[in-house]
Amino acid sequence: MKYILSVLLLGLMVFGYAEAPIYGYFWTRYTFENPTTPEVEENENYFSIERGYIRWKTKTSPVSFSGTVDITSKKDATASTDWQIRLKYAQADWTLPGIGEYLPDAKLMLGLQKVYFGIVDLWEYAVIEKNLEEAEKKMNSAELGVGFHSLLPGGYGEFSVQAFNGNGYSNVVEVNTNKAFVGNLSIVPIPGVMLKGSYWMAEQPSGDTIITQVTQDRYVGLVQLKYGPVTVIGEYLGTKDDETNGMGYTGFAEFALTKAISILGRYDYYDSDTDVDNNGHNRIIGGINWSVSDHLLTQANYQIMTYEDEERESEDKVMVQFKVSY
Amino acid sequence: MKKIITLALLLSVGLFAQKLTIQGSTTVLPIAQAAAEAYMDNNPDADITVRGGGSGTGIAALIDGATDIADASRPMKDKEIKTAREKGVNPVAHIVARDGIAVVVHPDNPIKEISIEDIKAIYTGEVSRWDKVGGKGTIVVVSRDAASGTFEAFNELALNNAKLTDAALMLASNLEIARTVAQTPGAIGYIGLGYLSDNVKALKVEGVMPSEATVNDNSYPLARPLFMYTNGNPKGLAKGFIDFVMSAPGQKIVKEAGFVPVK
Repeated sequence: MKYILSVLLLGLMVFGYAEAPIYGYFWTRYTFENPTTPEVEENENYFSIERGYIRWKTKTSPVSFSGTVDITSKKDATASTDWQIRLKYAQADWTLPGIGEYLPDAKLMLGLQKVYFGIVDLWEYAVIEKNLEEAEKKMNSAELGVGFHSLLPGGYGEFSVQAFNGNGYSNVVEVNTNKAFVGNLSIVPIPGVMLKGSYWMAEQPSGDTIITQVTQDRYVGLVQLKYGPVTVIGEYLGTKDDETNGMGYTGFAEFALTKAISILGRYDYYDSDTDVDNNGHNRIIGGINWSVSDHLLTQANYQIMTYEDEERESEDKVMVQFKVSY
Repeated sequence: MKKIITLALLLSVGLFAQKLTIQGSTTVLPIAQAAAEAYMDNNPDADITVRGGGSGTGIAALIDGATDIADASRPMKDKEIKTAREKGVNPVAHIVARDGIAVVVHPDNPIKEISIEDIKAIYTGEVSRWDKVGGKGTIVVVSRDAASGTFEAFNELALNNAKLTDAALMLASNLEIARTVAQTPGAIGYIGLGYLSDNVKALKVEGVMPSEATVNDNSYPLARPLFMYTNGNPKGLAKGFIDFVMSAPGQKIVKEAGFVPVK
């Protein structure tokens, strides 16, 4: 698999160096966390670089190349080992000729690529927290494999099918002989209304070895409404890991007060095993975003996690984040 | 007291002025600017801001709600339409003009017509002598500078976005191209239909002579529609402005700007 990534990167450099502008983002965050357990008496507060994306994209045709390097720090990073540099995307897109009228922008995607699934590929961190699927570690935003993606004619939506190793982008080396498959369809019947459904199926190792395989199913139904300054998203998530059924939902709302300032709220619920009583938890987020300029977004969020298990205390934190784009 | 009344009047004009923002294609920019000035002359309450930036920029601004009208020298892409619909924007296209590009040579050049294939061969440097396409002598390639909308259109329609030869003489305006071609026996250039004169010879392209008629009936290959996009059917000042551009005075502005009227 390393060879595939090397070829993709080489293609990026050879074919795209002349017209491969570098761009990206850096998210710098300050987090103030309240104690989560009685043993921890002091508050924790720290700076971190949550994501630093350095991106390339060539303008070659019919095959284009793109790549993203992701730089992150642990909290209070001081030593060099506190920093992590990962390849997040290394992708070749092959535009398919001859079907453009019926399947506009149809393309084959090869390499480490975006996963089209539920809110995962839509989420642009309007609030600082990851989307529900990623926050609950039920889905990765990038995977290594192949895919087909196309728009529906007339701007009525899009669909995709993808096959992956299924280990996420942090661990692209195959540890599982079975592949993961994901299908995604979104429809925009009228402007401002999007309906989306996605399904993921895989067999994954239950631990670090491949001795025991567990079946894995993920499915979502999502509705997004946009009207003027208001955006509302609602999603239902179903999960199945072998015989364990889980479910959750997320609701997100944004109201743009001005072109630069918006207020946002989100509510998540997830229960990883519906057969166990008092197993679920809630995540409530409130925040404000201020686009200081085209290159600087400032975000402030208050986030609280509460648990159905009455013996477990709630956790809350305040986060302030600066997203610099270049 | 007079000052207070004057200030109050100015403030009231400012408060009640109808505002309209137009952004997008640099090709459509001269039409939008001239039309906006004429419209504001006749409607003092109207406050119209016109900006360039390119078709993609204008369309993105329409999708983000940052402009009321997006000027574009190309139709919206499927991806842009999908993004617009997802964001609750219903893009409606208004064809306000057509852009016809005439391929011109020196009047003494014996050549009368040319194919798209030969145009591409000449402008990419594959062919450098007229002998290979029916004339005589060395070809002097004259082009608009890469920042111009006419270059963008010619590059797309005639060259299929191939790289222009490094030998091409890059000029800043249609007038400069017409003048250079008129004074250079071996030259070939391209200009908007509005800049044709007896000083240069327009060639038939794929057997069709460039004219308002052949541009409007889509038979001339080096032509394209120019658009103004609105979110839904235009209302208020946007409707007034689009209606004006499509009216006889508006279409006269189109012609004066060197483009082909659609009405």
